[in-house]
Amino acid sequence: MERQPLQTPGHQPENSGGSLRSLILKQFRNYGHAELEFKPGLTVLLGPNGQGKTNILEAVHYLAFLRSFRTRQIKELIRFGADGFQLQAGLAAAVAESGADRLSVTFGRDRRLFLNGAPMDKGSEFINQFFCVAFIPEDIELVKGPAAERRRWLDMLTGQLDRSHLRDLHAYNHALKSRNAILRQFGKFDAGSLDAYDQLLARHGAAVIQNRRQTVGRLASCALADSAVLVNGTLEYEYLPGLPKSDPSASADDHPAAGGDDAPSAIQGRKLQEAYLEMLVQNRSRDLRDGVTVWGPHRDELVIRLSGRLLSAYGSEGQCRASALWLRVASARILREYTASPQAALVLLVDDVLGELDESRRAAFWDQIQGGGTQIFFTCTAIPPSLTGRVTQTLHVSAGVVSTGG
Amino acid sequence: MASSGSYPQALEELILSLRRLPGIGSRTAERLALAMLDWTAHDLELFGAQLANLKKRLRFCDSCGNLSEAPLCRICSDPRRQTDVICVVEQAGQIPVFERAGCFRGLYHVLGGRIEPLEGRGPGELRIEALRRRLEGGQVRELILATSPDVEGEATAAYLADAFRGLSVTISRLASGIPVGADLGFADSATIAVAINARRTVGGGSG
Repeated sequence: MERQPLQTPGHQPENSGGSLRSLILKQFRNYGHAELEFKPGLTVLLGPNGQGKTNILEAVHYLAFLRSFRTRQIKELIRFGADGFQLQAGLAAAVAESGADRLSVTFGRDRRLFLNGAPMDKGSEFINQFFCVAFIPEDIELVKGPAAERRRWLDMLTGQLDRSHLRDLHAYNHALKSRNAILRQFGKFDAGSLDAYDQLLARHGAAVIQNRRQTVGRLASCALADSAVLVNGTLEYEYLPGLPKSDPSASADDHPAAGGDDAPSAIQGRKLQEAYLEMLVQNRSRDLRDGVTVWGPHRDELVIRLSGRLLSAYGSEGQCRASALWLRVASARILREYTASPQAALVLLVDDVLGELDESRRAAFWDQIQGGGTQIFFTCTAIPPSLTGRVTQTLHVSAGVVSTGG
Repeated sequence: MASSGSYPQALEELILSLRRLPGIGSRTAERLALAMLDWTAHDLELFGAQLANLKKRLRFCDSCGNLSEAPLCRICSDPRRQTDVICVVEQAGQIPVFERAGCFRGLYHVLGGRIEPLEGRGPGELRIEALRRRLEGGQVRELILATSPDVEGEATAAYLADAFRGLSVTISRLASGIPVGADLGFADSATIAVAINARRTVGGGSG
């Protein structure tokens, strides 16, 4: 097991870490210009519905990932009638991964990114300056939705711990599209072109599979036992790479505990890459006939079972919601446990996901995610009893205006 | 769009031509055209002649595909160059980059692009057969693949490595990593990752 937290004992950033200290929103959603100051711990965003509480969470999420959790249409983030929006965040010094403590995004005709005032070209370098996990009602899709939802969740989580994963994923998707283009125009392209792209597909595809498998292994090992506080029954996760069943590399994956994190990853990776390449060659005639690459991580699935039964098929609405909530709790825990930088800030955004839990489960939920320097933003219309004694700051949100007073 | 009809036609036409250049917007095109108005008639005629002759005087080197005024480019016709090593680049514009570095004394081969399936560009559109003929001449001992380190560049390098595997030529790939002389803090995480993976031993250990 390489389950060693890299934090040195006694060096835990106990509540001292803080993280997100300030946030400025300009022309973002329903905010004209708002400047917010945050305290470490749990900040409650309080106010009636439709006032802009979730928009603040969305702004933090956008600064962490350069994407919204609600929409892919960037235009929706711009305040009605404005040309663009601007977001700025101040992090507690030395918390950010790169030592940056000022993040800024402006989105007008094009997107501009600044880290400590210096412009930054690549979004891939800008994202994940602080760790962020959002708990949103749409999370139920992680359980009930198509496999692509679970792959995206796995990839975002894996990418938070290892930037190279997103690069491999991007290169894999690009190589996959290119290979499919070759398959459809075979003749113009020769077998050598296919050989060349097979190599690229195997190199990046094997890396994607290996990274995802590692994250699922971590999910199983560090977040299994405690799930009972939220979910009745035992949650199990099985990672199924999108490779043919007969393939030796695929059958090894059927026993993630055996293959798992133990084998030296470089050797394992090379073996997988070779097996992957062989698989592509074996399936070439079929791929040529269909004009599409059949197997690969674009078909990976994460199977989630509750007490032995497929959750998406047999779980009740409540079980699915609680399990999705648990996946996010587990995400936060994995980030805490496996980060290479112990100072890294962890910011949790909790939006309207506790409705189906009873009071004791809500308390258990807060117990799971609070502490260890974790910063939490929680939206609600009234502070629930389960939060008694846990809140460090309350901000009142009313029609795009945020105030500290009542 | 800003300049339509605001200038006399002669100037307007020049602005439109300048705008076709990469990196030139309508404002810059206007400024360039207005600046040329201050040139002497002689300078403008010289500039015009240079443009008119550009395609008449320039051609591609018969051997390597570099830009040239003679059938063989200056590099291929230089007797002091090493003829047993060839560096493969995607575009002729990349040769001056290597030349300025001054450390490579071999010859070049310009592919004229790379294998880009999403653009419909296959190996048949690249100068690969010309390269094969050069290699089969028997003089070349080493081939350096200097295609760019992205998906298409890597795939093109893999294609060439496979295509020439049977020949008695050493095939190498340009190394990637930390920019020399740069502060590590300026390297992005992709570059650092490549440099870590391609690190080399400099000492220590007995095994």
